[in-house]
Amino acid sequence: MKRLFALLLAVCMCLGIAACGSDAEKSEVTDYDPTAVTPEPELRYTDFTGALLGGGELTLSDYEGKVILLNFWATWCGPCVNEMPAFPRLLEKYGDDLAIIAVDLQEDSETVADFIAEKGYDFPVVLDADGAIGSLYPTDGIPYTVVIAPDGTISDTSLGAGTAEVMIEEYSAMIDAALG
Amino acid sequence: MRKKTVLRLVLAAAGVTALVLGLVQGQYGETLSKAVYLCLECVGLG
Amino acid sequence: MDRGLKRKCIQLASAVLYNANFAGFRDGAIWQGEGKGVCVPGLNCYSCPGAVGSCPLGALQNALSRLPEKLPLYVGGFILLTGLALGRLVCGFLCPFGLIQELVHKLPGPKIQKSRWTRRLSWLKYIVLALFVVAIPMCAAWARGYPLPAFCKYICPAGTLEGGWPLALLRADIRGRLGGLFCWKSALCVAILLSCVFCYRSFCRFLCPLGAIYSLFARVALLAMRVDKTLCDNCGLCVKKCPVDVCRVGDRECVQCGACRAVCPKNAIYFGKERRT
Repeated sequence: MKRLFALLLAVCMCLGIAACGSDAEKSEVTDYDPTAVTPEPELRYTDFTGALLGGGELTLSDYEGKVILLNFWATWCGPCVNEMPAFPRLLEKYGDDLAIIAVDLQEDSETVADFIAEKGYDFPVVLDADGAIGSLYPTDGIPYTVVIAPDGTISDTSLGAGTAEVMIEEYSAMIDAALG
Repeated sequence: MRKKTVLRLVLAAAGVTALVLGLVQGQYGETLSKAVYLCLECVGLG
Repeated sequence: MDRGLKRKCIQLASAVLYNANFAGFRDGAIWQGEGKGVCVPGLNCYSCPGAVGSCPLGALQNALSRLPEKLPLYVGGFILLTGLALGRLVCGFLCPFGLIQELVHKLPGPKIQKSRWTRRLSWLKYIVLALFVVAIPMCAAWARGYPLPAFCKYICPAGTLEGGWPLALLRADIRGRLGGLFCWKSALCVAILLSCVFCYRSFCRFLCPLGAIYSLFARVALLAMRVDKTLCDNCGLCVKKCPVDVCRVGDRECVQCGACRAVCPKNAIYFGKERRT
């Protein structure tokens, strides 16, 4: 029995060490501290190209020069869905100064398409089917939004969300700060 | 005792069938996608 | 090694194994590996920084939200097979929150003995199962179009203890989002843990929907505490000494802890598959 217990303990330790090792490879880019309330100054976004819902591709750097709200979400995430009505209203408010890109994490295109069609949203939605884009940013918690200033620096981040009304106020403050 | 054995066999067959069908339908990926993204609502942080 | 200690070792090993991503506690991040789609048998929040598997209850609530378009086959199949093989053995050996409750019960304090009232209260977990795991997630999904894992969101103390509190401690961005829901869940978790000082495994007995599900397999589970009727003289000591609300060894309330086996004067209680008599 003592040997069995020792064996079990050894297995647990190996698994723990293995888990530590695999985490060390994660996210070599956008290496800001995701747990900080505000990001460090002068940190730039990580560019990507992703598949657009409805066909074609989107490259993030094509939107440089505007304030970009880069939002990571999923249809099964309550707060993500709750805050989304804020996005069309923000686009209406800021016009060409603002771009909103919603990256859907690891869902099939049909699910996302049905959701977007039902809600009638027309901002670009990127399908991150394999999680490759999500892994460029610290997206273990969603909804996660990165606010990118026109000069390409990350001016703010937001984890979680309240209602759309609350988020319009919060995002407006972040966008205004990014616009300077 | 025989009834219990039959019931166990039926449940085992149902369980295996459900599991396999679920895997074929891609439900592993759906379960995975929820487990690897922290939905704040789910842990009471909202 | 004493059987009670052996069981504790297995409980501890399972708790460590389910949460083997130790780096998660260092970084305040959850594990995002491909293996996390595999359910663990016991109650273990997949938002715990250490978690390397899915919680079957969380996965079930999310899967039920997809009805009627999609049946919860993968999670349902897992729970069916686990229940059939182990039943509430999961509760007694393979559930980290069960272990925590047992350890908390060792703290000094008056101990509430089981009674017909605690037996009646044991039905509450089936109501929790029906409402918070099945009905509310399904209805909310139909109404809102996206899932509401109601047990996870409003009740689960394992989620608060393993996920909510560590993440709130480790991450300033999460602390910034704490609100009324976190306060409610924290208060509930504290109340449940406090109740465990006085009442053995109060959450398992009265509230746990996963235990409620596994209890449905009591009569058919392959591995369980059983009585050899050729040796038993019906003295009733097993039921008397049992810390939970059983009417007989191995019934739906039995968490397979083995306390009965330790006291049976006829050695009539055994653990495992049914013996041919």
